[in-house]
Amino acid sequence: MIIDAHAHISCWEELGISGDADYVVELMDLHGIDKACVSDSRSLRYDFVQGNDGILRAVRRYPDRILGYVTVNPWHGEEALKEFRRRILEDGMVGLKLHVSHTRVNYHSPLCDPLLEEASDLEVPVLIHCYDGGASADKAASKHPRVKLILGHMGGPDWFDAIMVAKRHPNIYLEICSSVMERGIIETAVRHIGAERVLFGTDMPLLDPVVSVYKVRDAEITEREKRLILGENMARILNLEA
Amino acid sequence: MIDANAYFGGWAVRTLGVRDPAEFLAAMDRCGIDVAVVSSLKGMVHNTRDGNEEVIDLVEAYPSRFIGLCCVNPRLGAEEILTELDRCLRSGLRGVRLYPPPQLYDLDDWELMEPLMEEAERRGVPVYVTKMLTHGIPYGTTPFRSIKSFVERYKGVNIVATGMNYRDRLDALRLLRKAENFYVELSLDSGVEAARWYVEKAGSDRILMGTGYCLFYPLVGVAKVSTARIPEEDKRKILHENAARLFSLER
Repeated sequence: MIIDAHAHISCWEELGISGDADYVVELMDLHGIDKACVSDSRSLRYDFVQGNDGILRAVRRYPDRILGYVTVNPWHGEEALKEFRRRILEDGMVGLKLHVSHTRVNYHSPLCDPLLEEASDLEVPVLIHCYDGGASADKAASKHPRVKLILGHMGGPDWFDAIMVAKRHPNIYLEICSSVMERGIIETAVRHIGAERVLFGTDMPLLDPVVSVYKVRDAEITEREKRLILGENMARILNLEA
Repeated sequence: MIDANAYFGGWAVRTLGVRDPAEFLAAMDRCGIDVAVVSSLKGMVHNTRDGNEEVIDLVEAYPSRFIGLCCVNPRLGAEEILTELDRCLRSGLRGVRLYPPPQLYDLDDWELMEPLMEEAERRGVPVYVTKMLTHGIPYGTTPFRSIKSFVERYKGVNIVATGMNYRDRLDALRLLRKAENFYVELSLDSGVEAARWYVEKAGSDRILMGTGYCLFYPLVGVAKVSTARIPEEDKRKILHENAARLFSLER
């Protein structure tokens, strides 16, 4: 089973790129992806409740294919916490998405503490946009050792720093989608932290799933390690049957 | 299949460089690539003449597998770069590679560019312009505005832009529609369905498959086109025919 740990239902008008749930499922079919965990760019860039509503519609349209991340803005305090809890407990969403670039809240900020504690209690993963080599995640993981923290984009260009951060924190996972397509990223991560905490993700429909699929396929790692990365690890995190 | 954009040689960033032709050829064979258009990384960011020497050696050793590009830095002066270009073309290289930011010149500095581009046009060789090498690597980015001016000024030279990402697509599309000498190479475009996006909006005649190997996983570049939802005829053009035409290869 292939599970995409990082996808969207989104529109980037300024780039001439957009994709609704139907388009995302088309891409999944094209690349053999069984399930995708998605958030909505509206949540990230405009209104998180509206965006989460859109995700819920996508999940209901494709219940076997699309899983929803709740997105909130930590600046909204109790309102954000209630939205997170409600979407997980009542709507069946599977995790939390936080994005520092849009909200200007670092993950180790006190503003994130209640959300990360709640994620720990609810036992759902938190996907964070991570382009700082994992610096903020390092501190957040120390404060919240029970939370399953997924570092989207594997830290960005300073991905080796993120691997070292993951090495220090067993509750950190590295998700591989990125415009940083350097050869050797996957092999280096597997060598230092094992394949069990490396996750397949695509960032579709912004990025092309083909990039992440073939990064894994072209990597010099074992077939078992590829299976773990492509789906078995995320299935374990989400308590899905592989 | 022709990889229209690959890099050869040493590289200071991590351990990405490939100096061993056998290792390079093994990667090409694994991906089904018959011919790779190669530039020297050393030539692009350190020393053009030494870098060109590496590529000349490679092309001499494997003339059926590699097409070499000559790195020149126009800032060194017309006489020096024309001499180097002549030496490289006589030695079997087939085009020019430019990467302005690390070599500290502007692509639209016409006084610098004129002698080189007149010579490129006279000899009928394509000129590759590097927008960027890869994300997060501190060698700089050529502004798209200067690429556009360059392409529009030198209409008699085929100009290939490499290092274009999805953020450049709308600008690249406008230029593809205006300028018949402009080509887009796809290795750095990580955005969704790049090949299909360009083919549907601008046709396939001036789109090129590149892998960016040895910096990137080569299979990614191939799969972007081979798995694309476009007609087989367009795939053939992007994977082979356009590059063959650009370098006047026999089919």
